[in-house]
Amino acid sequence: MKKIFILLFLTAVSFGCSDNLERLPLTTIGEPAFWKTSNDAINGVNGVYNVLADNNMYRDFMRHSDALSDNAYSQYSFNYYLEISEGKSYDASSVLPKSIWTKAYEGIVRANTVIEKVPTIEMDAILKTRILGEAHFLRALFYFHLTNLYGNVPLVLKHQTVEESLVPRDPKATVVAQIITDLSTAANSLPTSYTASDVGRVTKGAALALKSRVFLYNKMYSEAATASKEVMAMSYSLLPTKDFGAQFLPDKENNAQESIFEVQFLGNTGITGAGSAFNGSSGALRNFGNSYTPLKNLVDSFEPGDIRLAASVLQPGETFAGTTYDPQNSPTKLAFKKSIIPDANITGDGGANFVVIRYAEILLNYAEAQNEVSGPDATVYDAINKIRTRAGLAALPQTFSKETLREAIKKERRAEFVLEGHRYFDLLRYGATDMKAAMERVTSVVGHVRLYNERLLLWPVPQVETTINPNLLPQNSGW
Amino acid sequence: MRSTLFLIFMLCFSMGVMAQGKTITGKVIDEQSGEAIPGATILVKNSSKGVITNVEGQYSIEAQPTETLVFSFVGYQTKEVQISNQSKIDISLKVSSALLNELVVVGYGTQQKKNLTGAVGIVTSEEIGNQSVTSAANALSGRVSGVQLIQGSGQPGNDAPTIQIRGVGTVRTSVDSQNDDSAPLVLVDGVQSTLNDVNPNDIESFSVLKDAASASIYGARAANGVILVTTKRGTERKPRVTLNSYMAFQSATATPSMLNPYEFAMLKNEAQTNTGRPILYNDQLLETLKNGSDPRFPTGSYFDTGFRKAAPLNNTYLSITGGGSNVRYMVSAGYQDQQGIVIQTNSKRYNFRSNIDMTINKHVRAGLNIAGSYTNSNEPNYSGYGVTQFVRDMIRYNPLIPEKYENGYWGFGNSLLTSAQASNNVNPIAMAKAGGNDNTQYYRATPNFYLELEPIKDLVFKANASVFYADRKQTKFQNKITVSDGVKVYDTNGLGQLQDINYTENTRTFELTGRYTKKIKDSQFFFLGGLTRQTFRDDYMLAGNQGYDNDILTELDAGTLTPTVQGRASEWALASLFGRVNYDFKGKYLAEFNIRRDGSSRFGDNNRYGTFPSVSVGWNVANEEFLKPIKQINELKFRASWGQLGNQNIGNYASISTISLKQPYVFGNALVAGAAATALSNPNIRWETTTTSDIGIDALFFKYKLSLTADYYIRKSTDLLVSPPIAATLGNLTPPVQNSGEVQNKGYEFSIGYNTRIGNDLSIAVSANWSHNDNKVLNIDSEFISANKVITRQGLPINSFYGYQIAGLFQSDEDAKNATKYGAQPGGVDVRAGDYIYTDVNKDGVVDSDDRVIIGNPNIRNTYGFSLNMDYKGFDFRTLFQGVLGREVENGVYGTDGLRGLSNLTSLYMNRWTPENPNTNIPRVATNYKYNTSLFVGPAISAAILNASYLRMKHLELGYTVPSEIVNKIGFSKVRVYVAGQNLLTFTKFVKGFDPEDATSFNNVNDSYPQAKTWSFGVNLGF
Repeated sequence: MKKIFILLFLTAVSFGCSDNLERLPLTTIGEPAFWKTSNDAINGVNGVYNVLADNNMYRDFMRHSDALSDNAYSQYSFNYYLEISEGKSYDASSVLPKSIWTKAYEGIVRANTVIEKVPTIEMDAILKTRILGEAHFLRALFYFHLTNLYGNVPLVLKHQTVEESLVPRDPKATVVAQIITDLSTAANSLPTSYTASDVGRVTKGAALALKSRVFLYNKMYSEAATASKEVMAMSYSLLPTKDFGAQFLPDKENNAQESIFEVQFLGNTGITGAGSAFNGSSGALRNFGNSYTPLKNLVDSFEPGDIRLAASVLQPGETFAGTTYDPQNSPTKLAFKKSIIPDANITGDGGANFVVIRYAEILLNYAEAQNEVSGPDATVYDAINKIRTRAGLAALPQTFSKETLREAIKKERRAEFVLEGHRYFDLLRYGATDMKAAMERVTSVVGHVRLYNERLLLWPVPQVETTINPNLLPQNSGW
Repeated sequence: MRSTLFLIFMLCFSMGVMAQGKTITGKVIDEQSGEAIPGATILVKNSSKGVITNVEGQYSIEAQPTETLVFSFVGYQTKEVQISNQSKIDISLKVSSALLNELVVVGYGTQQKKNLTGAVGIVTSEEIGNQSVTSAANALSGRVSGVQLIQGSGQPGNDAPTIQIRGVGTVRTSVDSQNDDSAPLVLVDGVQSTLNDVNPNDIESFSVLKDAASASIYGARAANGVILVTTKRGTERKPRVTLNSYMAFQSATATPSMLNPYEFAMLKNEAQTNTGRPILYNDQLLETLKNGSDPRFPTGSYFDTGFRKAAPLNNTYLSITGGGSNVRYMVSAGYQDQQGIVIQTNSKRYNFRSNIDMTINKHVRAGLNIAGSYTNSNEPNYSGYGVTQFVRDMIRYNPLIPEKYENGYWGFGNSLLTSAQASNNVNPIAMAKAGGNDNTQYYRATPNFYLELEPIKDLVFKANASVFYADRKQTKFQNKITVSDGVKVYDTNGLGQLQDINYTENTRTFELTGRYTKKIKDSQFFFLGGLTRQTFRDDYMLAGNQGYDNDILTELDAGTLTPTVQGRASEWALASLFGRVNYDFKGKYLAEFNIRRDGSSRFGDNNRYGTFPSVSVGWNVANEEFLKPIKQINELKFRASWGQLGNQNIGNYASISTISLKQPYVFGNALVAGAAATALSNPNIRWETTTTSDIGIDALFFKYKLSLTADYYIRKSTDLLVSPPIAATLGNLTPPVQNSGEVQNKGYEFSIGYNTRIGNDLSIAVSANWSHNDNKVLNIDSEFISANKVITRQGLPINSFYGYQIAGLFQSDEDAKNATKYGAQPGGVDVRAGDYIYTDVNKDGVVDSDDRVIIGNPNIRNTYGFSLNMDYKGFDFRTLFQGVLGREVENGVYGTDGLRGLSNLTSLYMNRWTPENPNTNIPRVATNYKYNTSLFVGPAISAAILNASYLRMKHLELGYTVPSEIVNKIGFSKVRVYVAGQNLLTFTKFVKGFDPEDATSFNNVNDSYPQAKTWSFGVNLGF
């Protein structure tokens, strides 16, 4: 009796009174323990790249953005592209404006964290500089997408508390200036190439190349021309004609020749984001290929003999991956071919990278910018003709006016960059006339009418965000 | 039972079985009132002799002086008297303890019901009877005031209702977690557990602790109320075997009624014409669809084959109870085999329980309760989305794809149609049948050991150690299926994919309590003190592989591609001290004080501990001298309570900021780890506190025949644990949990019961209860909208519907364009006659987000139930109705999109607006026009907010107990057969084809697993 009582008492003391209430997470690291080593710094910056591979960035959105232009048609309303392309049933509560806004700031805040935390880590100075350079580039890239779509956006460069987060939007010019500063920082910090295991990271060339695009998009033409020339002075060149289509496929990915920056995809690993949603082969032809297909207008826009048409679009009767393409289920009777791996066994995610920037763009950026600065000079023709020659087309005669050449360059960009996330953004920056014409050009799909409205040149700030943070108001005009 | 006894007696009497002996006479009276009791039974113990008293309460019986007489009457305590040399025995019977001294299970003990000072709702096994509930929780439905049960699904193995006690007291932005966060604490025989695990047959009683005073002994876990489940235990008697078995047939309470292929094609043509598009189906095709002449087109609805009309269910239960002076036992086993209403779903459940109590000596007692169960359930994998997606697709998929083509392959698309005519998807029945199976096996075990010491009289120490262990093993197999559009044949549904998931939960509890009862003159004290220590851990592991050619070899190693693996775990711990003092003065004045101090690992160092006190008082007026003369009042008690409880439902690590290491990226053609914060934390998060004040009355009148209980309460939650949405500019992070705001639930509960007998054979018990609850956000730092449909705003109920007011339908295209009159409509230039009129509430000429208003309240305002039990001779009849009055639910999303695309519609659209049918509230059909439907991503529109009130016959049962002298001959002590029904009748104004009870959350997206309407046939045997 007494023994039992003592036993009971001891049990009580040992079990009941031990006050072990300190329970730390078992599968994640507590933040105070992180940002201590160079490995943390590398993991941290990798976490910024991770955002690039999201659906609402390069995994799907950039590829799918052609459906918002005269290049392609996305037939299902659940993809959210249909409503924006038609310009109606589209408002500040639509899904896509929220998704892209959110994803871009996810990348920005991750980059900000790296930029704030990594300098405090004791580690190899060269590696540290490189990582900070990568973070600056990525932050610039996310801001660039935001300014193109929304115009003025909050410029967040530092860690914020919930209370500090209700910031107003900054003028687009301020944001663009910061983008340029970040890209200069990146260009000064980054190497021109990497050893095998780090291939895919941002290089100095990428920073300079993006700068050329940012200047061009913001109509700072002489700066754009200068930035392009800096890249042209590096060792990049165009791949031969035969490799035009191959450069979007795994065999030619990360080629140091024309490729400047690619978002890396591995294929179907079971991890979302490690594979591109777009490049399943037979899957694309049968399934995805139905929901997102090229428009006839795109095919018609190619000059005869342009090898880029066959590299971009699959036409009825063509053989691809061992089968004859039957367009029965395609609403436009066409399918995409560019960046689609011709392997019938791939049905899920594919391993083709998304080529974000390649040398061909730099040449066209230069041509466009220099044409605006000086009119059609020899360097302009030289740049555009390199592109045309590679595409199997005749060189342009040096007889164009500034205006006609401007149009020729627009046409060249469209043919060159199908599915590469350019066309819609080019139309946005060209402005009302081009956008309106492009929308009106789309007539080949029965029941699909695109209705131009000036407000379509800027996306609405997502309604959920203006509800949380009314300082984001006023809304973009027309929304 | 009583009538059985009576029958036995009557037979004995009429057979005139008289033994030698003397005649004993006497009178039986009620001890309290002194009135005669007619119809009381007098039996000679251990014999079959017996008589009943006449109208004066008098009796006469022959018996031997060595024999014992047993006096009994329903509702009274049985008395036994040794005859010896007496020849006249007058007896006064006491009203039975069941009424007078009814013991009620409360936190850490029992209490006499008449001395309760808190609000406790009780349901006993007798009341539940043989209601064939598949989940024990459903037995509570309609029986306890203040308890809301919403059964959202009738899926075998997954049909537990969500339970709320006195409304939603906590606010979370995630509507999905709202149900979990407002679920009460469930303790089975004192061990934290789940109701899903308990065989309803094992349950002796439920105690629902509703107010803070009765629940505060459970402190941190009790903010949403507590349900104490007590299982049956052995008593000192010879073994008694109970065998209950029934067979049931289930069908859906509501089956969605969809457009058939012909109607679909017609309406789609109309939708095209309405929006200036060419028609899609020509007359010839329409004719083919109409007469069903081509097997390549289906004819009916997918539900024709997707729902079973009479899904069988078998349930068998066996228990053995008994014991001697040292050991008492109750062991049971149950088996249930249930086929689901939806095809390809089923579940088997095995329950075991063993309750052993031992008396070691007069100071030491010990016992071991072990409960275990095994459930094995199946549902279609359905591309990884399971049965919900299957039900959803039967609604939304266009109906033109046959299950199989003549070539023998499953239907996917239709070669006779273009992609504009039929969306290129699989037939849902085909996908359910051939697309693979998800198997879930649930193993649960709850061993609980206790040791009780009573060193001196009335001082008892008790130690409890228990483990709640649950292991969920899931095997999800996504099978490649070979499909055809009638011409082409190919494989779809992925590569053949397997996921093996193992999820275990483990809760270890150690508890030590001491209790002491002390009587000093008229005062009785009761002291309780204790400590508990609880740790919880869950582990999750997923292993997967791909590349399975078929479903013959479906183990991990049979996969031919790269295996994947994931795993995670989390823990929390709780350490608590608690105490209670009861005071009882002459049974008249009652008081109770509780206090509990909880420490939880979920909070940071600075706010780890919370203290939760409560106090309650009661006044038994009926025991006062001045009321004693009023014989009609048997009990009258006023009670009042106040107390505080804590809520720690914030997830395990909300106070710690963490870095996710699962942010990989590809470099050098290899996946490389990446890291990023994905959520914001709040190290200063502290306990949410719920303060409840309750006043109540318990009364019994007219010889305990009429009972009445009423309560009024105010339940206020402060420092709410909320995670309002944060700006995306913070980096798309999960919002931190913060303490903010105040929510109030205010309401009353009322229950009344009446038991009587008419003549000697008929007894009737009726009862009714009504509960009313008003939910209101008293203040909140910043209001927030969830799911783009519901708002949490000061002064309104939590999650009130917030959206556009639909004023009706435009009757002319001119009106539709008249922005001056109606405001510019969101549909813009596409608005036509037959479209919804969005109200320009602020009259600024434009209908935009500023015009959103409150358009409904998804919180239940009133619940009620009423029951009738009748016994007549061997027959018994029971029925239970349960209802909800005052609740709005959003209906729709699927089946209501007005043929924007090629999704099917409910047949309500046959009554859509057309120029010929202008007097309707169903809008026109229109291709690509999204403003006539309630969108998944919002916003809410008033036209989709429907009244989800209902009244439902939950239970109906008719039984017959075979007279015991017959069953005794074949060795039984009891034989009862019955027929019963569940959910047989429902009265509601909710949309046809859908069940108003389906919505466990604010919306019903029309994809719930149907609820069961059940007919069952059973037998109860005892021997």
